[in-house]
Amino acid sequence: MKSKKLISLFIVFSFFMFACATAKTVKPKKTETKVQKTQKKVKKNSNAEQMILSLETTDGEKFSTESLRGKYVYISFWATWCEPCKEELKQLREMYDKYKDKVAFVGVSIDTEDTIDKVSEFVTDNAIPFPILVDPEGNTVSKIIPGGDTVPYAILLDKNGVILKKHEGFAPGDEEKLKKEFDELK
Amino acid sequence: MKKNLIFIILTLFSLTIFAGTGKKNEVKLKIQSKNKVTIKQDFQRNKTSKKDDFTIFSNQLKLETTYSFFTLGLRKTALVFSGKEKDDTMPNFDYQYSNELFNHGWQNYLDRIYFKTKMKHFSLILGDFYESMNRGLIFSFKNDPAFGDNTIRGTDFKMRLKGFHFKAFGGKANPQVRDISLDERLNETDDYVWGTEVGYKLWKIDLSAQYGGGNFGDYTILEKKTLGNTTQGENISKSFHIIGTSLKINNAIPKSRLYATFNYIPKGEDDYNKIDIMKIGKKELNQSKEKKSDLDGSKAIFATISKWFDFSKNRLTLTTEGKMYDKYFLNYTLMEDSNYKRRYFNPPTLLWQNMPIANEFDTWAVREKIAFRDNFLTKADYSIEFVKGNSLNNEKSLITTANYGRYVKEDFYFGGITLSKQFSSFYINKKYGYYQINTESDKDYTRWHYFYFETGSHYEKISGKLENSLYLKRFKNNGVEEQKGAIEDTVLLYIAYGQHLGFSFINTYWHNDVKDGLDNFYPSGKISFKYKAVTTSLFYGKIKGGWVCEGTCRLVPDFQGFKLELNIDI
Repeated sequence: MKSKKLISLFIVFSFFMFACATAKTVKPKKTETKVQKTQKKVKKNSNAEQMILSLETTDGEKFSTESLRGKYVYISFWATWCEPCKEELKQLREMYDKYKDKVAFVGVSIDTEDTIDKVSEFVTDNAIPFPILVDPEGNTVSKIIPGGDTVPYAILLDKNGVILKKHEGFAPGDEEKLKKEFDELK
Repeated sequence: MKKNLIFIILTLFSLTIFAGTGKKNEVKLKIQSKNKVTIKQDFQRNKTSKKDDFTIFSNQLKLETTYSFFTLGLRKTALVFSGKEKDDTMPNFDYQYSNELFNHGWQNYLDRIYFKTKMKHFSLILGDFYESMNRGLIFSFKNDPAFGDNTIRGTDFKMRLKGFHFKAFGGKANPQVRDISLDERLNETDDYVWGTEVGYKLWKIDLSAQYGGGNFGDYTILEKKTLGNTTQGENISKSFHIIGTSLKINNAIPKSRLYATFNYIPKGEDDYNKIDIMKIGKKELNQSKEKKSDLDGSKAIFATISKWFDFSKNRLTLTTEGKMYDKYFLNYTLMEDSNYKRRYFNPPTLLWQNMPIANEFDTWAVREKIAFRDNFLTKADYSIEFVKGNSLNNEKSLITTANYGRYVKEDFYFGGITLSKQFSSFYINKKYGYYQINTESDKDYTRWHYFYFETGSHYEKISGKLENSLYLKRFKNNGVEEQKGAIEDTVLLYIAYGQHLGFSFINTYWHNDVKDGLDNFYPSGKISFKYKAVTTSLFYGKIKGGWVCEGTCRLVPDFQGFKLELNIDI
């Protein structure tokens, strides 16, 4: 009896919260992709905030996404213990040659000091051709990723460093969606 | 009460700044609210022990305000347990009982608070922060998937000027940690840690020196109790000082990398107090105190070196790793009683994560790995590796109590191969590992074969993933044959439709000749739905318990029942 009441309570609560969380949903126009829509918005809003990510590479060199201005930038957040993340990096490796002139790929590992050698090992063994940044103390990355540690997570920046799109998770077939997204970029 | 006051003041402070500056983007306020409701019914546990079905409502509120170089933030957690039996072991568990809707209890605490400032050459944090040095050999405070979000609450100062860097930190270890599996807050510790690092990078060479120290305890191992004329109890405290050095060289020889660290404990001791008092008249007999310098002269060395060769877009990588942890008994299990689950150190292990190692802190091991990326013929990634290790036989240095695991002497071998390939519309990953441990009493008896296969594909909006992990196990523990002809096979099928709907099916097959010799199946299904900030899932079925190893191992009981979960992140 008690558990029935609890379940009813749960269902009512779920509907309420769901309604609250999705109340202001606006259906996107079918003819325009989300990225294109955001691009338009960004153009209108000249004060749109630019994102600059400055960290060290696995080789200990300083790297800033500011140096990639003029190109679209796709930043993939990952960890050595996250299998879908590693799958995404391998898929990006396969796309690298085709898109490298248009889109700069950057990987950012959220691994901590303990597993930083595993990051270098994965990058070297798999011949990842684009820069992989590390943030062993997590002070920079935890501000960007929702929840601080939910990976795979990716951000697409426009040529001025403004966020165009955010991606959560990576499932088989997502590489095709990414290719489509990159093809649509002008 | 004090904590609540701090919370209110900080919230008001943040909001005041926010309201006061308005239009321009000078002050930013970030509010994040994570809400979760879980209903759990465990039929399996209800059969064997007292009923443990309950619902947890949890709310985690994060507030962060940034102005110029300054950031002020906090995280507050509130948990309401309904239908949960009264649990006196839970700290701050306010319990209310009513016959109406549910009996309930709650916890409410401020688990993060920090003030940060970051300028061009230095940064300062007052409050909670993560810290780690020398690959986890001198502290490892981080957001750990198995042990929770561990921080130090104190001060962290860092400075970087050209090639020079310096840092110093200190504070109370893990003042607020939750048990991940139970969602409950753990007791507060009286553990203090501190450390400093100074280093210089010249050309491709980065050389650093570190100092760290700690003072842990008192930890109660056996609660002090008096029965008649006899009083018994056990407690322990620990203090130590570590010095270390690390060396990083990248590409000094083209396409090569080296990392090496050496750490030494000149002074470290356990203060173990066993109370066993017999009162005869006014006389007290048999109180034993033991001070043991089990860490004096301990050392830990870890090194990894890689060299790679590129030819026609192919890559061959050679990696050698070595470690020697000599009496490095800074293991969390030696600093805790059963109510404390914390990990302050996390030295690198050379084995795959799912391979168990009993004696991690008094051992040496070497690892050789060859990896090959074939971009010409098969367009696949291959690797082969081999690990050999052995104990260093320092068991006499350890204080042994009933709560501490016995010292295990073991020498082990591990061999593994992997293959990974991406096709145009699907991918495959394969792994095979062979692991053999010889302990003193059980020579050549523990053997694990591990096979792993994973593939994923997609068709229009539908994507799918299939995983199979198969273990063949033989295991003897301290002379007792526990597993023979054991098979543990877990199949996972995951299908997603678009971005919103996902379905997973898991079945574990378990067979062990030694126990019942029966074929046991643990099927379960989970359906989940995600829309914007809302994720909801329903799980029903059985989960096999046993030792779950995710970097460290812990014993998890079997589960049979359902779990209904709703997450709302705003």
